[in-house]
Amino acid sequence: MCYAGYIKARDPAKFVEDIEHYKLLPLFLVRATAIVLPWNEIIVGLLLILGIWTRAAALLSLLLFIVFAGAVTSAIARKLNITCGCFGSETAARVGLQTLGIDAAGLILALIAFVTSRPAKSRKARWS
Amino acid sequence: MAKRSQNTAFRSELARAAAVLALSSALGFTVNALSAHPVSIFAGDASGKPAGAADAPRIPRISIADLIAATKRNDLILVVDVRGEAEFAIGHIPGSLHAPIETILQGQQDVIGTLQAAEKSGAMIVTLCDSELCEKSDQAAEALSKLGYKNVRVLQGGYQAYFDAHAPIEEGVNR
Repeated sequence: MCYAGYIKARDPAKFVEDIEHYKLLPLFLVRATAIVLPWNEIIVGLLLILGIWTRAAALLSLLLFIVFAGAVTSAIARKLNITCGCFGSETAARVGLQTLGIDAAGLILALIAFVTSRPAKSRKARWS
Repeated sequence: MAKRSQNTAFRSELARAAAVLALSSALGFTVNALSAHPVSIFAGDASGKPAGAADAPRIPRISIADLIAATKRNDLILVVDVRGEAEFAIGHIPGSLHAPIETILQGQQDVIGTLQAAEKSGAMIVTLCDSELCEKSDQAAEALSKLGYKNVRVLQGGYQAYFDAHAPIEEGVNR
């Protein structure tokens, strides 16, 4: 997740094109997403690696993979001949069942991380 | 009591998740603002360049319909696809030359050789990229014009528009 975010953060103009290919959002939202999404991925990935706020990070990771899987499913259904945009243009893969499989795997891992991580303690429990 | 505690814990997780989302998004906007080539959300042209950025004169466009018509007439045309290798392999216009922008700017021998042969035969050279959002086709066309190529055009709408027109495509990388 950190690597995917880093690759996208390196070339936001290219990421704008990749998101626009999905034809799901108006252009200003495409650009805003291209600006923030890579950093969402990087920070969530770092939190998971470092074990900080793991449950919250896993929840966000789950949300991200649901969004990715939804976008890929939509592209497959509309038979769009586009690259995934998952890891930049160097390792570009056509949107298809393989990319959906990768998103599904990420989703399952995020779900496992969420279920197995410790819930946040309430303020009362922390001080008792 | 246990359920109440669970709800409180989940609300705490949601609050943390919202905080992470807000902070990481703020980081993204900050990095973009400090970047040498920021993406502009609202103002500017389709590529997201900030408004007021100096625009070099654009190379003339050729529409998808005109390109298809010219191909059917067997007009001499060399399509130069400046996208990356993986994107080219997924689908490209049949017979197009795959020449990522760097190969043109660095004067790669086989690419320049093909371009010179096309120019000599009087062919129209048409550069294309992903879509109108991509500037590489304009950059390639401008580079070719500066090198003295006369009949250079940029494909309007790029490969995505060509694909949406249900025109014939090829897959794979031609060597």
